[in-house]
Amino acid sequence: MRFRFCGDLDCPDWVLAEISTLAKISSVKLKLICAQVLRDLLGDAIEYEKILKLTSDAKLESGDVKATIAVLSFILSSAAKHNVDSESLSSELQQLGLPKEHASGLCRSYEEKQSSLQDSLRACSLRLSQLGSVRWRVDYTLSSSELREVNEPLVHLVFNLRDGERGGMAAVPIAISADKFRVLLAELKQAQALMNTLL
Amino acid sequence: KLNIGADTVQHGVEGLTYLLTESSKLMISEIDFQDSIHVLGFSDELNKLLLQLYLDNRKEIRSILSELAPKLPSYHSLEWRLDVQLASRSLRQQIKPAVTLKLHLNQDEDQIAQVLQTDPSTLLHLIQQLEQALGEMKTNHCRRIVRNMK
Repeated sequence: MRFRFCGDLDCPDWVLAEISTLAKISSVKLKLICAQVLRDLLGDAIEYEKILKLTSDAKLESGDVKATIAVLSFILSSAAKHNVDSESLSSELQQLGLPKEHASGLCRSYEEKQSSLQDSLRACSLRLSQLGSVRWRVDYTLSSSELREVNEPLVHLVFNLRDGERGGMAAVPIAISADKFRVLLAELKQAQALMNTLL
Repeated sequence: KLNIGADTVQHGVEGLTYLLTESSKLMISEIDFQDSIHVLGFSDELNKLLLQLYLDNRKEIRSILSELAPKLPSYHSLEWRLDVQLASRSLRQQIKPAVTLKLHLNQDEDQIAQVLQTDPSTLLHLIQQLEQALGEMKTNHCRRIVRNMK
């Protein structure tokens, strides 16, 4: 059976197996656990002791608690990845055997945070390098060892790059003459105009 | 406490280590082990102790030795992105799709990453080759070998 929240593929076997574990927890507690899992997916710290307290009524073993967190992470992030709306998610989860109140509680939590989840997933997509900041300075060369009167402006640029491959910041300095700088600026303005036609 | 010099103790420990690792490495039987240490001329009680030591620890020594083999980098995870190049400085109005892959590998407790880029047709070819490689496991030749190994 194909499910939209799995990207139009079959649901993984381990997710099917854990749906019955989810059904053991009450729907109110499940919604609170969802809120914790969403915090973890959005980059805040997860509060594991709260989750342990919430699952203690259902008498789950520690392996089951971790499996619950894993299956909720998968369902929520996969639904956000494939841009599934919350009604479709609710009906697909019910097809998998999750009781109606559990599915609707889960989907309400999902709906609240869907766009922030998608934003955070977009931000951690693969990116090779990223421009942090640019610093510049304009100098005026008066003379040099080759020529007594030079009288030329010179632009110094420093690009601070975040290296995607290894992490960490790298600074790339460039010194550029006034004419070349005008060419660079014209080309970049053309590129910017092209980008604006796409937005 | 043993009233012997430090050197003697060190040699004793090294000797025992060598005896146990070589025996575990070669997985020799009890009789062969007994015959080998008989040559050394120890008392029977000591021989029996050494044999017991060997049999008790053989499995653990073998599992530690198996981890000492050299290892190639192994797969950890794969990130990908699909981009389309629309224009460049030299040419406008292009449509050039490209897939960028970042392959995360584990090598000797370090994580290294390899960045690759390919166009979609090469990617399809790559997928086809890998599926063929997986399909090899189902041929009679491979099945026979797997059966014999079990």
